[in-house]
Amino acid sequence: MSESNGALEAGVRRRYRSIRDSRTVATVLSNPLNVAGAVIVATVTAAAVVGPTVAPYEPASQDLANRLQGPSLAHPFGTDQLGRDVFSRLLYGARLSLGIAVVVTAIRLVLGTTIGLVAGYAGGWVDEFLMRLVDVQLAFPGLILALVIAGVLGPSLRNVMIALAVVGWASYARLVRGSVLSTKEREFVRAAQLMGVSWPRIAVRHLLPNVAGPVVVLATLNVGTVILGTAGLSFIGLGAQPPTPEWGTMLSAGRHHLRDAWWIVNAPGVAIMLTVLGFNLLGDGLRDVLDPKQEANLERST
Amino acid sequence: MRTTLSRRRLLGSLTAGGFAGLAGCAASGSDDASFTIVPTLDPTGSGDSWDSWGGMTPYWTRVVEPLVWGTDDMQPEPWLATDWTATDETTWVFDLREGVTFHNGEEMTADDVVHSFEENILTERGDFVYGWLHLEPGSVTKIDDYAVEFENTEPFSGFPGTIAHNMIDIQPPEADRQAGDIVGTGPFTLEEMTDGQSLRVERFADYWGGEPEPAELTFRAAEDETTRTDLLESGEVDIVFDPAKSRLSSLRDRDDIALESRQSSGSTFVSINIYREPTDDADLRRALNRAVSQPEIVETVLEGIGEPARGPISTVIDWAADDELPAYERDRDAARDLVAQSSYDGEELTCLVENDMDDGRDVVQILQSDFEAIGVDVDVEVLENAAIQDRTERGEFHLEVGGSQSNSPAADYIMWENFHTMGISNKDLYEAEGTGLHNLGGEVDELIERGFQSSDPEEKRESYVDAQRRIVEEAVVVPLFYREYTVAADAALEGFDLPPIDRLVEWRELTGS
Repeated sequence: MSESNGALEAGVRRRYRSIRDSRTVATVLSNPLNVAGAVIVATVTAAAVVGPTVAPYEPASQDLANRLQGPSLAHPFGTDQLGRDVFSRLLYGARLSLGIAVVVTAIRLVLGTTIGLVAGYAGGWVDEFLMRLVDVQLAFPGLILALVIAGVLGPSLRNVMIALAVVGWASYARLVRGSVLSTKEREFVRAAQLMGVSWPRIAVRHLLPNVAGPVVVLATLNVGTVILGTAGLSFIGLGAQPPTPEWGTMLSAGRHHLRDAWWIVNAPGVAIMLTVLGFNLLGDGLRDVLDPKQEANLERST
Repeated sequence: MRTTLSRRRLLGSLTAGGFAGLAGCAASGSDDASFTIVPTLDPTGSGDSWDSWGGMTPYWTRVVEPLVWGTDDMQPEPWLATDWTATDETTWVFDLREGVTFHNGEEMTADDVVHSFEENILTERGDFVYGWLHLEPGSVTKIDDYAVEFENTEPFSGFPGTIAHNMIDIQPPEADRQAGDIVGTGPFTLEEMTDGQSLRVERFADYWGGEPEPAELTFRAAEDETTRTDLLESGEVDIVFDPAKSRLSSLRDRDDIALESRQSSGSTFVSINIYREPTDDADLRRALNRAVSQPEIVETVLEGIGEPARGPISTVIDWAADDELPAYERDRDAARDLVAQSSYDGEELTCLVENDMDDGRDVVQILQSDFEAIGVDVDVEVLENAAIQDRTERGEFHLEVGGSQSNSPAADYIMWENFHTMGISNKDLYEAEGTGLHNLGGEVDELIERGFQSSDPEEKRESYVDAQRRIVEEAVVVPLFYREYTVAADAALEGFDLPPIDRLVEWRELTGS
């Protein structure tokens, strides 16, 4: 038992040393903006994970006698028009916003990567067909299309997720296809083909690892865009339904009180701004190390 | 020396220019006074509803006029018609005002009235008008140049007060209305309109009621209350309807802005679907009524703009009941007992609210919290108007935060359409499934019919009050508040009053000082 513990400890130490000494990590940490991005993302993630357990109030708990109270010790970010604690709602909202962003980005990533992989590897009419689909999708302004889809499906967070997932996968498909086209001509892929390895295995074992870097960069940048898209759709009433503490909904409800209760709007506004900034900074940092040749921003705004 | 003189000249010119400028500003009370007004709806178009006027709203703009107007106590007032008589139970004869000139210079006669009703109103706008006015095509005939006869489909004592509505306007056959060629009889003529932005009207010097004071009015589009308030505060506009409630206290503190509020003909309540489980149980509905504190809603979300309601009809309407109705005051223990003895078993009730409704999101969240406090879970759905209509037509909801509003002094149709089995809300489901939505049927239908047809004000009031009492006793609605509307204006403006129907505000005597 103690032997196995010792082995585990040694393994962890080795891992820690390899991370500590890693040039990649050193490169990322050498830029203070990257560190700032990582810190912001870590903070928001921590808020999303533990926020609801440490929040001082229930997010929907009203106290009409104490509505529109400014920031104080009892309510660090003040109360809203129904007397709810803005800080607690913000913490609950972090879990929602981040959760949605991660799920939507994951759907976009899986869908886009699969389509790009199939198109690039299969070539021929399959490639033509899939890339025309991508062209069609990229021809639509993302947010407008998402707005139409969310409008048709009806207002709810689930429908916002569907709308945002449907419109954002094409960038991944195009990126992955380009990488696959160049990688599949390389000798190790040809060798695998000659050995009779099946094409799904070649795709997963040989091609996918070579496109992972740019995809991870794009996904990181994408998370911020999805948070903005969710907040935007909720702001115009297509997203979260009352009393869900979604940041965009909080922003929308508070805008009528901008003059007399600035905190209602500014708390979620700053949260959205910082979160998006954090993911963008982190994405830029990751790009510097994972995909240094990639200059152009492949991401399309939604 | 030369320099001094030129400075004097310069100063003199500036002073003269300044005086001229001040004179220009002060001219608001003179012949060329113009004002900018921001109503609550876009005056240049709101979906398809104003197609009959080429997109121009017939409300507020005072370009077109009906035969009858409304007084401050919600009674019909002679307007393009000087008098009316019921010659039998279903027939009315209206005498027309002589010397009324259209904007094209022609005199208004009975032919124009017959054309407007037969072609513009009954034929073009279709079915819903038949039920509203109780007229059908072919029922309006000319007696002579200044008298017209109307034949109602059934006895309808509220007919004159019902056609006292901006949409029941008189225009000559030459007017190409849908192309925006509006030829009315009102004190202002339509001059130009930019879709989604504004429309401009000018004084009609030959107006039958005397030449209006303002030379020009501009109606600007700003459906967002915060935008309207900003426009007034920045001095870009002169009058706004319903400024943001959150800004009322700061507006009240300003000397250069005057605020006035008036109880309107509108009322906000929760309509309950009494034919869907579990809200078909009167105990549960009464529990919901006992969970709510109307004064709290008025004092908080509405910033005091409104009156706590006991009934579903605004008390500016002469047959509306309030004191006579049972009061469900908030008593959470009693409400919980009622929930316990009802058939409610913990399922989530669906509550619909329209996304455009002022304060709707806040009101519905207070209700949701109130209902949760008595153990009733509510799922809120904020939907746009068409989606709400679709859901309510199919009966797929339990609660709807909505209300009623009359834009004409006779408001009989509110009772009929909402609570009579053959009213527009209930008819389809009643005919298809034998149910409806908010119709108790039986005695309530009879009371509404009696009130609707009675020409005796006492009998009408008695019938409608009895019907409202039954509706409130059976908790078909959760009354919330009688609405008030607020107008914020440049404090230097004079010459306009607020009637209970905001769409009937007159601008003829509006002056700038």
